[in-house]
Amino acid sequence: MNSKVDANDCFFSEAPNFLINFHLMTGEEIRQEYETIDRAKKDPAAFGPLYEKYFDRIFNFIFAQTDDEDLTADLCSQTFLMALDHVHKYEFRGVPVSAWFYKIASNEVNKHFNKTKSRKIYSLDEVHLRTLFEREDEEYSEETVIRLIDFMKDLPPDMLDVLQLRFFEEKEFKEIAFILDISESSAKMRTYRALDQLRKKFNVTIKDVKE
Amino acid sequence: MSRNEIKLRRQLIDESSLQRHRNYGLLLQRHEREQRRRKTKRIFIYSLFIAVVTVLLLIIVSYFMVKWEKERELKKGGTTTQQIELKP
Repeated sequence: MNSKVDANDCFFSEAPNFLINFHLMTGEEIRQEYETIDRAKKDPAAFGPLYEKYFDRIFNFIFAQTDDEDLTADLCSQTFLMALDHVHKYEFRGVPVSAWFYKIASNEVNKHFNKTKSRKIYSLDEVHLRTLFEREDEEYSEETVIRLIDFMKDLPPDMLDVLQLRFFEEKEFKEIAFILDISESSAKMRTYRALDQLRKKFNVTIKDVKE
Repeated sequence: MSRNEIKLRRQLIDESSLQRHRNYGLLLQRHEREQRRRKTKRIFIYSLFIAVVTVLLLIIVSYFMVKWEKERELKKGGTTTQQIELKP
């Protein structure tokens, strides 16, 4: 509960505010959110502040996997509806409430792609990529991005899921494990394997968020 | 063929698009509708269960009633036969 993450630790310290808000969360804020959930169990209207707070992030998270605004709107709405319908079952598991929303969103996206039997899309946004390159003092070029995309095309989807949550959503391993229903060590292993492959392929050192 | 489809997004979704899709009132309405649907479903299932149990009970009771009635008839018939036999 007392996990306070310093803003300096943030990987994307220059990213838009809605992308880094979570990382400035204190244990007290997490507790307050949990209290909001507790109130929402009795009165659904109390869920409103959480919806307003996380809507943008969940929308962007889904959009990055669908690249379709209308589909994203449907899945995002379904995510929050599921959360609201099952709020009475919510139990605190040591991760922020947002991780629960991400977990539902991730399930909804997977459900959609399984139903339509289509391949999942991963869209990398340029703003994030530029920040990543700037942080590593690497020159951002179209050529490197094309190579990076080619590299990512052949990564296993489960590895991409972890990378997306770690580098684009800036989640801690504990949260990633909760969202993807895997163990924390497995989340770490997938991330480091992908980074290792990236190092070999590009001869660059991409640091992990907490390195 | 590659495993995944990776795209490069040039821009983040703008605030107006997000605003267009954000609607907590509608979400609450859907939630209430869903709750009502679940409640109706639950009531229907319970009613159906009660109806099935009642029908089963009625069948069992009527089966035993018929059986008991038949036994009574048989007993009655047996007594009558005995009485007839005793007359000569």
